[in-house]
Amino acid sequence: MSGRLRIRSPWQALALVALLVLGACSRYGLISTERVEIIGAYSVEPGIEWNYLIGQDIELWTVDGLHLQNLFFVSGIEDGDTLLAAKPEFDFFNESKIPEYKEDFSLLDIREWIEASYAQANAARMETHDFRPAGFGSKKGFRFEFSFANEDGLSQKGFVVGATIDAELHLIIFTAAALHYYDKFAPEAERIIRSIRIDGDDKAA
Amino acid sequence: MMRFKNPKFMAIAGLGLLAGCVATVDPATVGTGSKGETTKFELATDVLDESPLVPGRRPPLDSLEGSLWMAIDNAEHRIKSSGHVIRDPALNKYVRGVVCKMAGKYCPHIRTYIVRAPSVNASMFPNGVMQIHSGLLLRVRNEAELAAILGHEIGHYIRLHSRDRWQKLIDTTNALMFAKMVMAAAGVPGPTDFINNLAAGSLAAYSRDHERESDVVGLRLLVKNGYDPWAAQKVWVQLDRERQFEKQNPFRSTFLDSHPSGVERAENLGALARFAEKHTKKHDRGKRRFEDVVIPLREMMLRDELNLRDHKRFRGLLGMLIRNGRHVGIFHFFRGESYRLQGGDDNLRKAMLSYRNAAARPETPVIVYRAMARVLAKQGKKSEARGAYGRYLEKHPDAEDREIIEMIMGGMS
Repeated sequence: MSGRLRIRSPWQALALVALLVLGACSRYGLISTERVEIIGAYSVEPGIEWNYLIGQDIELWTVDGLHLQNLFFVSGIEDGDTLLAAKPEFDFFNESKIPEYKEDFSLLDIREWIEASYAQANAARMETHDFRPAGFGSKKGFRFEFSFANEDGLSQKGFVVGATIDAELHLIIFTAAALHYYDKFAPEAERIIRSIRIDGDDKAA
Repeated sequence: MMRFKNPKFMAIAGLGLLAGCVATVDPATVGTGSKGETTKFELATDVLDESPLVPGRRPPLDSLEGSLWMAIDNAEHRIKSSGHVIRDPALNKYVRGVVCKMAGKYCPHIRTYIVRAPSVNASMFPNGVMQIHSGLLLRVRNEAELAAILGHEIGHYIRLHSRDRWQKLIDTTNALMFAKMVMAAAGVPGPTDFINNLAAGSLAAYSRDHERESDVVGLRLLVKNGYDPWAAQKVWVQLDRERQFEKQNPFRSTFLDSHPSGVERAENLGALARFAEKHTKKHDRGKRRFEDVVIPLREMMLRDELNLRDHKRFRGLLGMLIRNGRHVGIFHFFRGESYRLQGGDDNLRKAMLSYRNAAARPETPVIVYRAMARVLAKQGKKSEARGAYGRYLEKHPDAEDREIIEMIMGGMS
């Protein structure tokens, strides 16, 4: 599952998901306000209609465009996976410097891995703060806030929530333009996160 | 451009001539260019007055040069708004001051951008755009060394080297390709931006005559402004030394390492400095002035270097910085960070040693205790890890990650 995307900035990443990874199926779909399954691990219930793109182990949702606001669902992260950039296919000299997820990561390591992945993907002035425990459905998870500037200098704000489910890390990353869009869509992102229902719990319920 | 992987230099054959010039400030004739030509090293006159560049000059729009300027002007618009440009007022004011001191009457026509990028690079474009990467500010040790690099770039600028260089490149590539290269080189690079660096490298490949001339101009400006004439030689040696920590592989060496080592260049700059120091009284280094501005930004710059995950090179650099500087606690801390990230029993042990070295110094940030705790936890030393986390929270009551740390500590009891 390693090597999802090959990109230079989060925004290129997001655009390239559509163009390269999804190939022929790269058209946006529309998500209605009913409960929806996220890559076979958990489900959420959006309060508004979102457009979505699906890749291998990732989903990207947006309303007005990826640069303005997006929800990035990354599922089933395992040992050796990278977040935003792919490891080179041929690495004869073992020179790849792309941060990889390790299964023995502590919570602090996870945040550090996400920060480094964004910094390497050309997010300028990536800063994270308010790292704290947070629920992820019925699981104990974590959350932190972040900010960075994209290549055009546009300030972005967002937050990451995550949890380990069956030894695999799951992340939901909300990012929006700091001006206007963050405030407008953060409540909806929060609502979606509150609505997380882990698949096993589903059956029990 | 001054890139530390950079340019070829011819041996200065005129050392004998230099040695003879002791009593008066006669121009020394130094150097043999590729065709045997010599360069005058003149200290009595102002090098800025001899420049062919008219301050504020713009080429006609319908000329080839004019169209290239337009390409760079476009790139400058992107640089201006880029999130990668460091806006810190104190740093910008300071660097701008050194640029203006060195550039004199050309100063109003130079726009300086300090780019947050962990790479050793300074470059100057013919329209007056000057870019200085933060990686360079991390490595430079004092104001005189910074001035030496800026002086070298100003040398290329006032002697119109890029115009000559670009003309040759256009003759051998096509103009559209060239315009793209200009855009890429003038843009703000990402940390691993290969195309960008390649374009910058192609454009930076001035002829050795140009390089030698810019070194002479730079040194004359250095002396004129009362700086230590050895600064150029010293900074070159320092930057070149870091190359030893880079991994070598056969593909890379044929591609990116197309330039020979800086040994020759250091010798040449040394010869010029030996001559210059006999004729100048003021040998200012400005170490304090430089450090006062740069030290507050070091943690950010080092974090950017760490994020490249090029551990061997990074630790080599840190070793050099520790030997040179004051307030070295932060360097020890980042050495620990590098070992911790690389992982493995041996590296974790070394990480702890580095953190302890860092913690013993008052200037080290309190996150060193959290870092120690993380290593101790990985080593399975739970109670010691708890203690270190506790110290972190005690010293940093407002820690933004307090709740997570308390949760981790709870899991250790």
